[in-house]
Amino acid sequence: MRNKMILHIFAGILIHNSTLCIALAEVILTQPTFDNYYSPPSGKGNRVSGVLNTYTSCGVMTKKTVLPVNTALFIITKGTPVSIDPRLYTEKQQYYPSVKEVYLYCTTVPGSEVISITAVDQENRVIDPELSFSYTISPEGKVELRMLLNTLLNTYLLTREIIVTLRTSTPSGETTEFISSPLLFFPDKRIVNIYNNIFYPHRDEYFIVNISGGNTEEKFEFSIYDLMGNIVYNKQSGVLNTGYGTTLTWDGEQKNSGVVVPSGTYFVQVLLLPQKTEVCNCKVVVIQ
Amino acid sequence: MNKLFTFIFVLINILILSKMLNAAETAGLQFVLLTHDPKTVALMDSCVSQTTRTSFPVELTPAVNTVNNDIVTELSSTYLRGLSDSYGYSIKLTRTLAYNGTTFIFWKTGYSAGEIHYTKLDKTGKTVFEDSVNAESSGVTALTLSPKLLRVSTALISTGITLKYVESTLAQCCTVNTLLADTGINCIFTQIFPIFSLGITLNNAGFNDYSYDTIKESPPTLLRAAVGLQAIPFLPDCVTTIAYHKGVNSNNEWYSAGCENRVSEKLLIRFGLKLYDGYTTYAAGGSLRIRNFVLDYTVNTTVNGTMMHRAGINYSISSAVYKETIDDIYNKGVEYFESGDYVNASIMFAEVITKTPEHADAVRMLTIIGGKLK
Repeated sequence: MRNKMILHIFAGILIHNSTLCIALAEVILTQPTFDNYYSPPSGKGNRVSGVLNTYTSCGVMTKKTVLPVNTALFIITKGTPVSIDPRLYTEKQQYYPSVKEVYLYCTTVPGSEVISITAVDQENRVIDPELSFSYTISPEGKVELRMLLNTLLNTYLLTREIIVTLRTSTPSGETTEFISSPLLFFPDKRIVNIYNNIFYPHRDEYFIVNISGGNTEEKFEFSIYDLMGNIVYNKQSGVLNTGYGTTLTWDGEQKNSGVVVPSGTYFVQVLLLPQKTEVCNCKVVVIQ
Repeated sequence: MNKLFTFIFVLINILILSKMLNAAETAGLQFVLLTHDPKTVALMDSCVSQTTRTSFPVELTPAVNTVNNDIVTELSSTYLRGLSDSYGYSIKLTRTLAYNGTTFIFWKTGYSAGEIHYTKLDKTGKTVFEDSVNAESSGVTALTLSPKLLRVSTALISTGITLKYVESTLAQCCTVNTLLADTGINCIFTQIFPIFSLGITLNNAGFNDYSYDTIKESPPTLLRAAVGLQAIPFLPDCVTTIAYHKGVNSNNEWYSAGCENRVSEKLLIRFGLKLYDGYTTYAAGGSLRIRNFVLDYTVNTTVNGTMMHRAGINYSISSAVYKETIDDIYNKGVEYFESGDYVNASIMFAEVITKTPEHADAVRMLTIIGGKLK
C-alpha cells in the first residue's frame, strides 16, 4: 500500500509536464479500486493518507464530468499535507472558468460521521460564506462532498486558490482529516490589471498588463500608440490565456528598433482576437 | 528691420545646424509635434507650403506672411478629445505692423494627458506604491516673427522665425524646460497651375539636450518640405498641399496630403490623409465664418480607429490699412491683363488673394490667366 501511494504521488507530479505521463497516471488510478488508495486512520487526531477524485459540473452541463486526471488528483497525506505547486500543472487543465459546483470524493472508515467542512484561500482565510457544502456518506464510508460556488466567488477580482478540509469521526472516536490539494478558481469575468504604468526603462522597469479570467484559449493584440496615434509597439500574445492570465509586458522599446521610445505619454490598447474586442485602453508614461 | 531680421534668421539657422550634428540618440518632447489647431489637423499638417489661401499653420511654419496680411489680431482656442481623454488648446494673438508689414504672433498651446492611476510593483511582484497623478502636463509659449512678403521676379517669398519656450511635466515629478526654434521659407510661383508654392521648414530645433530623469534626449526636430497648388483651372476654389516630414534626430518619416475647398464665402471644407509606417489615417473638417468669428471643427482617426475631435473658435479683426490697398492692386492687375501682360497681372492678382483670400474676382482672373498661359 505504501509503495502504491508513492507511485501515485510520483505519477501525479509527472503529469504536469507530459501527456504520456497523464496516461500513465490514469492507468494507475483506474486499475485499482477506489478503496485501494485509502489508508485507514492510524490514530485519534492524526491525519490520514488517502486519494480523492474530484468531479465538476458546469452550469450548462447536465452530467458530472470527470476532470483531467491531474486536476482530479487529491493527495491526502498523513501528517503534513503534500502541497503541489499549482503553477507546475498544465495551466489549461487547472482552469475553472465557469464552474458552479465541485464534487470531492473520499473514503473513510465505514460508519464514520462528518464533523466539519472548512475551506480556506491561499492566504489561509476562511471563505465559507462564499461557499456552501452538502454531503452524503455511504454505509461503506464513501463520502461525496458537494461544494457550491455562489456568485460572489465567481465575481471575485483575483484568482482564488481553495483548500478544502473535511473532518470525519470514526465509530471508535478517532478523527480523520482529509485535505484537498489546491483547487484553482478563476472568475468568469475578464479582469485586467495594470502595473508600472509610469516606468523608467533605463532602470530595467517595464510596463505590465495582466489579463485573467474569461475563457481559455484567448489571444490578444497588444499595441502602444504615441500622442499622434502612430503605433510604436505592436505584438500578438503568443501565450494563450491559461486561467492564470496572460501577462503582456513592454520595456519601452520602439517597434523592432532596439531603441527606447522618447519620454512621454503613450496609449495602450489590448484587443481580444480574432474579433478585436477592446479589453484594455489606458495610458502609460515613459520617463528617461 | 529686414537686415536685422536676416541676421537673426541666419544666426539661428547656423546654431540649429551645428547643434543637430551633436544630437542625443532619442528625440524627446514628442508632444510639441501634436497640433491642436483644427484647420491644420484637417489638412494633416500638410500645409507647410502655403499658397495664397491655405490655413494659418504657425505651428508648422513661421513663414506665415503669405496668408495673414489681412489679420491684425486673432484669438483662437481649441478643445481636443480622444486618445484616452487628453486635452489640448491653442491661443494665438497676431499683430501686423502697419508701416512695414512684419507680422508678430504670440501663441500658446497646452496639452494635458489627464489623470493616471499608478500602481508600482517591486521586482518580486508586490505592490509597493499606488496613487493617482496627472500623466502629462505640457505647454508651449511662442513668438513668431515673419517679415513682409518679398517679390522676387515672379515669385512671392516669405520667411519667418519662431522661438518657443517649452515646459513639460510627466507624472507630476519630472519636468523639462527648454527653448526650441522653427525657421522656414515659402515661395509662391504665380506662373504655374496658375499658383504653385514650395515650402521648407525646420521645426523644433533645440539649442541643448535635456532629460526628465537621467537619460539625455534631443529635441524632436523635423524637416518638412511641401508643395501647394491653388486655382487649378478645373478646381478654382480648391487648395491642395502635399508634404514630406522627416525626423532629424529620429527615424520617423511620413507623408501627408490635404485639400481645402471653398464652398462659399463663409464655408470651407477640408480633408486630409497621412501615410505613416504603412498605415493610413484620415481627417475631415470645416470652418464656418460668422462675421468676425470662425468656428472650426475637425475629426481625425488614429491607426486603431479611435476618433479625435477638435473644436475651435477664432476671432479676427481685419486690417483697414491693407483693405485700402487691395483695390489698387487688383485694378493694377486688371490693367496688366488688358494690356496683355499676363505675367505681371498674375502677380498682382496673387497678391490680392494673399491679402484677402476670399477675393473671388482675383481667383477667377488668375484662373483665366492660367488658361491663357498654357
